[in-house]
Amino acid sequence: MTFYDVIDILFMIFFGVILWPVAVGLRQWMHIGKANQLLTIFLVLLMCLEIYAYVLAIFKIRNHYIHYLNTLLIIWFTVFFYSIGKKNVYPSYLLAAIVSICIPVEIIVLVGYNNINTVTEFVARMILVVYAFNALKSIIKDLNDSQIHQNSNLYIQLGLFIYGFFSAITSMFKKYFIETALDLYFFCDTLSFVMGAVAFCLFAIGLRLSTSKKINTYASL
Amino acid sequence: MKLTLFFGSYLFCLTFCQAQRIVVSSIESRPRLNVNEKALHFSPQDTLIRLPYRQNSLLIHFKSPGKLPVYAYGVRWLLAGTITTHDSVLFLPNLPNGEFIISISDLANPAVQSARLRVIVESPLWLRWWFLPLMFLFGLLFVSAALYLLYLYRLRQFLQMQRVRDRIARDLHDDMGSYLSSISIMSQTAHRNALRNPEKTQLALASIGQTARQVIDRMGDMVWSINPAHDSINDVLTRMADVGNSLFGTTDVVFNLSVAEAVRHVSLSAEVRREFFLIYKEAVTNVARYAQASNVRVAVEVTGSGLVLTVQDNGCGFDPAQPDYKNPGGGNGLRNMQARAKLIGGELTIQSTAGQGTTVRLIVGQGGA
Repeated sequence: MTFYDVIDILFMIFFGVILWPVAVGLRQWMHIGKANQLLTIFLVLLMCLEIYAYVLAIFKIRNHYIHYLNTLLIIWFTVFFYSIGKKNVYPSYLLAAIVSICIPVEIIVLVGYNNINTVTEFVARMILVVYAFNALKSIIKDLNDSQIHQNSNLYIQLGLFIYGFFSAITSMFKKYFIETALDLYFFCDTLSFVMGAVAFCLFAIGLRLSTSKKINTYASL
Repeated sequence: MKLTLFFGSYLFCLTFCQAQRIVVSSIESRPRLNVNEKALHFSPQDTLIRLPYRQNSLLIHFKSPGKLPVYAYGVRWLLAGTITTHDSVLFLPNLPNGEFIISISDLANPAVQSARLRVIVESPLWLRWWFLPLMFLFGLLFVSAALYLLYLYRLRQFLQMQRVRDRIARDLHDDMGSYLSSISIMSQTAHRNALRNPEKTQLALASIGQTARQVIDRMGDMVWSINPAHDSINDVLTRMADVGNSLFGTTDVVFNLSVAEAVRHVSLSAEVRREFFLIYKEAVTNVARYAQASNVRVAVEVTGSGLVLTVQDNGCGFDPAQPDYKNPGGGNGLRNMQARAKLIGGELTIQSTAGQGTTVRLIVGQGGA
């Protein structure tokens, strides 16, 4: 067993944490809100893509095109997730459409097929980070919610912020590091997987809390 | 004759060989495994080659126009000295990043000019000047975002503390202040009438006693609502049961409190908890005082609309549009209930018909689910 095999096992363990929020989400499916159902679907799809990529890697088939699907998943999840309950959703959809169109453009013009789409992947994840950060700000600024530690949305947004931020940074150099410095690639991947595990734990906590009804309305003082 | 031949050869070399030089005919980069490398474009006139970090293994072919050449090549800033060889190929594997000058000369033909080639191997990204500042910037961005959120959280805690203090001050002023003022006025009345009119004095003293009990009661509610130990819904339900039992326990009225299981999972904020409880208390107190009911049913449940409180009695009922104020100094109870419901964004409905009992229904919407 080589050092890289050990790292591979660690990756699987860290990524395996995703099963926790997925299990909580599916178990409480009827009791969680629409946004949390969407989050559960997102996590399931993310897990499927990662498993598919891993199977391809086992058979030594180049799997970098998975990143295109991953980018699409993240950008469309972001706009759908943050559009729930909003009135003017078209700017968000337009943003997602632009990023989606830019993926084939980047593939054809810049990187070539089956190479990582660094730019659009980074942009999609940073959009998620910006949305999550704004949502976190709104949650904290909302004084009507007197029990913020019981707010499921706080944990979910924090998870999305951490997941988006660290995966965005590592995605910037992933393509370059894969081809030039494997040790740095593994360092980046480890960092994103560890922080991903933290985010998945936060999702699980958020989904668990969302099943308890919360009466928080406080019209005015 | 020999001297003439020597000078003749020398002049021949000067005219033909001097114009000639060693030619670098081709340069190839050796590919790495699993790396898609771009083809290296080189023409013999080039004197400068720029290599990306990942294409840093070079195979250089060169040729001297002289006969039986013996090459001597050196790579400045890489090799300490020169290497002499008959081979016309130079392999430079894994060149470190930086600039090198390769010079190749023909020792056997000194008249042939040497070739010079500058090779620049670009640094990998992580060794470029902007990489570490960029990483630092990312770290700074994350820490700044975290600190900003922490700052907002601290500010929020402060504002919430202010809010609680304002509420306590308002309650003390509105409730306690008015009650204590009443006690003060009634005690003065009692003092004035103590000798002249003992009956009025007794009434005033009774009112003082009643107001003092109300003060104790309101104070108890206030302390209970502030106490963080009573944050759970179960504490609210327990207190609701206590109030019901204290009002109806010693009477013939059948008091029934039913709580749906889903309610146990509801989380109420301190403000909502307080107003919810006070509305309930006002409703059951009204039943105890005025309804003349034999049966009181209280239900707490969770529906699609939110948390629902229903207080139903089979008493005498009244006309909600024109209530008959049985307490001469009162009349604030129903208005207070409506005001409290509005404060928490709830909806309070009172259904009553004379002789057919009353149903008070409070719906508090859900947030954050």
